[in-house]
Amino acid sequence: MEQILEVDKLNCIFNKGKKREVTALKSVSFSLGKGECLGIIGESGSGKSTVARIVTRLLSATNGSVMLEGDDLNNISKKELYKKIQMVFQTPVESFNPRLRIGVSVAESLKNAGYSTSETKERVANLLEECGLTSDYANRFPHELSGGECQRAAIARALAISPDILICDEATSSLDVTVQKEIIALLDNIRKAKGEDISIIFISHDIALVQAFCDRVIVMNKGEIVEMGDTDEVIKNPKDEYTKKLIASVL
Amino acid sequence: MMKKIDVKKKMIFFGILVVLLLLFSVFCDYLTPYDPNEQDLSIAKQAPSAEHLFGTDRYGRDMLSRVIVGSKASIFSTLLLVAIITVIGTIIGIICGLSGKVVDVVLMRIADIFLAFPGLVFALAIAGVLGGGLHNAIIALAAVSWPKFARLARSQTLAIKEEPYIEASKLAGTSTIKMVFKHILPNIIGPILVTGVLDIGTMMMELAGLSFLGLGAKPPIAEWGSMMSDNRSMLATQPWIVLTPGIAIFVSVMIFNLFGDTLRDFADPKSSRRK
Repeated sequence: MEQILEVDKLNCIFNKGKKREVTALKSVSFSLGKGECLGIIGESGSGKSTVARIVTRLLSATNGSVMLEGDDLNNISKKELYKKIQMVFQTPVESFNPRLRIGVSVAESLKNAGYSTSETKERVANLLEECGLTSDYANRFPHELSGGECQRAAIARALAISPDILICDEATSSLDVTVQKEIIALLDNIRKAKGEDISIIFISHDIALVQAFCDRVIVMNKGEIVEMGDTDEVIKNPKDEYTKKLIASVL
Repeated sequence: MMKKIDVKKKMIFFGILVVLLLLFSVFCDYLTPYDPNEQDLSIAKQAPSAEHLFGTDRYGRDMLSRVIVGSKASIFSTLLLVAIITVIGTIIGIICGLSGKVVDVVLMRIADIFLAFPGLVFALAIAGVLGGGLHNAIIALAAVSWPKFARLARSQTLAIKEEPYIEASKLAGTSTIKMVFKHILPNIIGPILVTGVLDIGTMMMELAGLSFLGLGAKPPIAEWGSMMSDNRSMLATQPWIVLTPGIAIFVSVMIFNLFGDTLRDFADPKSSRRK
């Protein structure tokens, strides 16, 4: 399979004042294939979100490299980068500016990419419908939407610019179980519709969701990758002690 | 729910008073019964009467006309002053909040220096160096008053700059300038505006204070603070000359403060006064 994203020996150390260092990532390497869905699981603080933030350049790594389609991430302008990578955040409602209508937020990346007003409007309406909302949601404010609806809108926003990579950082964690299922179904539909055109990094602490949705999985603990492999194999046949514990802890 | 309507009603009420006050000072030139600068020594120092409701001053000028015209200098210079410090403070605060690091440290230490001096004394020094006059008084007070707004804007910016919607907009490829106007400013402007309105009263007093000390408006411009200052020796003998502009200051400061108060209550859903 052709690789779209290659992460090599990523280290990330946060300086918290004098001599207090927190190592968030320790030599993390993995790759993401075209059209693949990669799950990252691990407990809180294991460095899952840090990976996402480095790949989207919201954070810079201490050292190590990230290659996107063979180019170093730091050599790609942010404008170009964000046409290729988009993210869905953990908190659906908070990821929308409370003072802007949903339509304006969804259209932001399109406007920045130079789409005309009429094109943008049409595309936003289509996106919202693709994500299971109706086009009149564009005129609503974030607080008028439920968490699930907001997350659908957030997915619509992330897909607006047709990115090659979609990162879902705990995208379903703050939703209740039935809504989680709907969002996963939506993501699944998107994958089927786009095929090789979209690769997904699905970050979660919910093993069942990852099992249902991802081709491959990475298990992280304390900033290190402890196990990596096909989802079914890792979950049925865990080799690492931590992975065993993690799987055993599922009720 | 009942109380929310009450706050709204109160705000509309004081808002109307503020608008009336502003209209009054805009059209003050047409509202005077006499020429505020015409001297007639034959009627100097007259007590309030039907003809001269507020009496006359030592040059025989009609006090009512002078108080009315004085509203222009007092209110508009105050509003100009508050507008200047709000805008400058907010710009500096947002720059500090967003840039962090060296820029933040340098600008905030400068703000600290200004905050460390007693405001009016420092303003006195600046006004003294620049010389008297209303413009210089505004510059002096602006120089000592912006740090408050800078600190407020900075803390508000810091509070929201890590919000997911800011990061989402970064991912949408929005430039920093656009981000400030589209996402940051609309979400931090509320508390800043309320503080600004609440500051109108204080600034009016400080401006009047500087004028009172002879560093503000120069005669014959009618300005409430300087009117009180010029005639303070007559407080015991002809009190109306000092008291009428004093009452004018009192009333306008009250109106702006009460409006600011209700605006704050209205803007803050958790305010205890709402209950």
